[in-house]
Amino acid sequence: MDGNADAFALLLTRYKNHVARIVNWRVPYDAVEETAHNVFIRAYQSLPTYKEKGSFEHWISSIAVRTCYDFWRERYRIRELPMSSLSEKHREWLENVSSNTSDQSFRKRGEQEEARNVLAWVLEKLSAEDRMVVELVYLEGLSVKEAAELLGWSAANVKVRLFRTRKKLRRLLAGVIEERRSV
Amino acid sequence: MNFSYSDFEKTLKALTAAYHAKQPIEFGEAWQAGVMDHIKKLRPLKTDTSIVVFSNKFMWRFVPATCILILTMSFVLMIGVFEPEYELTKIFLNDPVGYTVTQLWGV
Repeated sequence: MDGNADAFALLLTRYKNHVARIVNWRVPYDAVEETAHNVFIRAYQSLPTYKEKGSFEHWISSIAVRTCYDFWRERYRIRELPMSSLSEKHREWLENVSSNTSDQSFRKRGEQEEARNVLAWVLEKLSAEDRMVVELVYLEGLSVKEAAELLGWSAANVKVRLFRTRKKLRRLLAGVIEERRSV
Repeated sequence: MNFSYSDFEKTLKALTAAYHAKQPIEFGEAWQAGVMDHIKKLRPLKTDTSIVVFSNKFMWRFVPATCILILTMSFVLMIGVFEPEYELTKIFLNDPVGYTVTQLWGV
């Protein structure tokens, strides 16, 4: 690009949908545009450090994931929004899901509004670091190595976090379901 | 625990489905124009190799050699080949005037 800002428009056009998908999964709707904007600003500023060894798509994906991580770190630091709580409807949804057996049913139930709210509640209870690991490995199905590469962490760090977060998640969900079952 | 491992797996599956069920989003021309405006306001990228970039790139290559040098010097000092007090006294006795003058000049 040789410092030509206009040439960046080509990269922006080519990769905006890819970045939109990554950011859309990780941050709330109202913050997607701003976060994606920040991704491209960061990418532009980091261009001199880009080595043409890997693909550009992978490089910009890594920037997008790290920008989302920074978004959550900032969000948790400010804590301007009160933590959401689970309503009776959400608790009922959780209980139904955990006692159901059909695969089709998981997908169907996952599309429900309650599912998204429960997911938001669960992720809100995790730290920004744990949140990223859960999203990348459990929810998106990436390998530990791929997640570590995207986050710029060591694979061991991701593994340890994953192990602890899995236990934390289970404890969280168990708490809600057992409370309901005991009523 | 009432909440078994399989219960947890099932719940995780449904939450994964919820994660992927999020409505896709597309950025319009206005968003792209906004990003480009912001980029144009930034300082142009420096593509030349400045001294800072150069030193950042190559400084670390000298680290092993520096470590070896520090270890060697420490070893030499530890075994007592170089004793500063002894050396200073020797210089003073050999050339008291020259030594006093250099001290006065702060050399």
